[in-house]
Amino acid sequence: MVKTQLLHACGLLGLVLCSSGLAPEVHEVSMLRLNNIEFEVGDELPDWVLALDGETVQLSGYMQSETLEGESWFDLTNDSCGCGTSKLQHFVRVIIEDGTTTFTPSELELEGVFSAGEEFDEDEFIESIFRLTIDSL
Amino acid sequence: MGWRPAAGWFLVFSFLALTAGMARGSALSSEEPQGQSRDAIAAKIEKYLKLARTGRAAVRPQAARRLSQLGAPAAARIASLAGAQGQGLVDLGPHVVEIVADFGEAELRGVLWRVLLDLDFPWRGPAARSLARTAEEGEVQRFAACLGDHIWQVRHAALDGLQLLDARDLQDEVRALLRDCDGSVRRAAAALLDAWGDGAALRFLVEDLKREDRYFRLPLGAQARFDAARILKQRLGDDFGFDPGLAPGEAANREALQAIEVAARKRAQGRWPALPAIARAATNRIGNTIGLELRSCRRGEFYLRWNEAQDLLIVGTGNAALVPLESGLVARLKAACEEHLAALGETRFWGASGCDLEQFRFVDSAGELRAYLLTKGQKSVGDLRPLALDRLARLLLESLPDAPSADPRLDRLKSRARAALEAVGGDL
Repeated sequence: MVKTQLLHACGLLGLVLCSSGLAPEVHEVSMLRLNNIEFEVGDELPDWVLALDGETVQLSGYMQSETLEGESWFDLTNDSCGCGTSKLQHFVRVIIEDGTTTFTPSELELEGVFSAGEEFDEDEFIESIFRLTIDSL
Repeated sequence: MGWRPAAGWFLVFSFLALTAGMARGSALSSEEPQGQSRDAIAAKIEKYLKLARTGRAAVRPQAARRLSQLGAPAAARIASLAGAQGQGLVDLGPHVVEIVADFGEAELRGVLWRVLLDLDFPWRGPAARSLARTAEEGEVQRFAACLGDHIWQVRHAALDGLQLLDARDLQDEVRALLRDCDGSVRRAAAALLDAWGDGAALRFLVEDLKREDRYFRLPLGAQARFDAARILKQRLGDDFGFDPGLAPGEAANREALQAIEVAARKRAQGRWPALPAIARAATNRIGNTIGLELRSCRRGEFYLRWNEAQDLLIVGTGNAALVPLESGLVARLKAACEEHLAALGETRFWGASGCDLEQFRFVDSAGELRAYLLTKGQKSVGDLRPLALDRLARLLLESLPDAPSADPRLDRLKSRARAALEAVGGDL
């Protein structure tokens, strides 16, 4: 009973924080939806993706099998193989604020700040179009 | 000064050369090698070759595309690395193989066809896609021969090649792929048949909009909905509001599905064929206890599951084939999993990145899903699979049927799965 009341109180607090703008609204986004956008280099991203830019987003997926250990980023894919994966929309670059990667084949549920748009490397190759900055793994 | 025919011809040729150069320039974008020194181009070629092979996953196809834009010098370098028989293409990797035909060089095209015939060449899918995207007159029979390949990416590419060549005489051969084990091949066959005037094939795509199947947590049915919805929108010119990200039973999707079916039936001119079992959206939801997912570039893909409650072997994706097993067999396999997997401690991953994969999945007694993954590149790795998984793999293999079957998913399944396992994780 006490536990239930506590949970209700927490929920109410969350609602108050959210409505007052103190707690961010969390958008649950499907990796499949991101993977299946129609996008070629130079295209505009769909409006619904651009609307997520800067928002707090929840995503589930797998570390791409080439993930290096001890890095501060990895690519999230829709399945643990990622071997047929070659389109930019098939990856979400996950940036870890505090900590580094340890490869796991298990499904990951992540929450962080989403960013959308082409990001280039020093050779002008597009490295990512979707990014998620998380606190830690 | 009078008009001189020679000057006229000169102007005509100059204009043609200029416009041809402009057209080529637009196709080559920023990587036009004109005006660059030979050394600079050579350095770029080496850089892009390396990035296409070992760069970050998102960068590799872009680097390969830039290689193709460098034109003849890049083609010559790739030809020298590939060798006459194409054996050097193995090391260049799948993304370079995928652009080889783009150079339009007959010699390289011949090399691609040669490696496509080599069943041990790991990048047959990319080679087939490269050839199909640039299919040439006189290659119809070669693509037709690929329709029966054991690698689904090769079958899929063959359909693309036949579409480009407008090989309508092969409608029956294409129609046979509406019963393919692989959903994306069925969808590509359906789209091609519709493009050739057989609108009834859309029935197969409409059915895929109803798929909700999963392989453990992998939403394969939802991916099929996305693919089918995209193709149907192209074929019908409208998505009728169907949202493939939502379940087909959602109210909005039910209405959209009805509208799509009406439009597709109209296009089919009254013909609405019965679907083979393999193409039907699965209606039963059978739980999974053990899973073995195999993806070998050379030996193909297998999705195997064992269900304890009903003692079933479940083979394939979508409306999978169900094979009754001896009573209590899956419980014994589960006990063996508990025992063998305990020996692995917390280790869940072996090998290095690559296109070959075997993944063991297991729902333990607490209901937790555990996954154990082996991956590797194109080169064989002697003893990649740990002893505990070797033992488990042998036990799982023993439960598979090995007789010839009319169902391609079950045909000599044990032998084929063993070959794939050995191609990925080493001898058993």
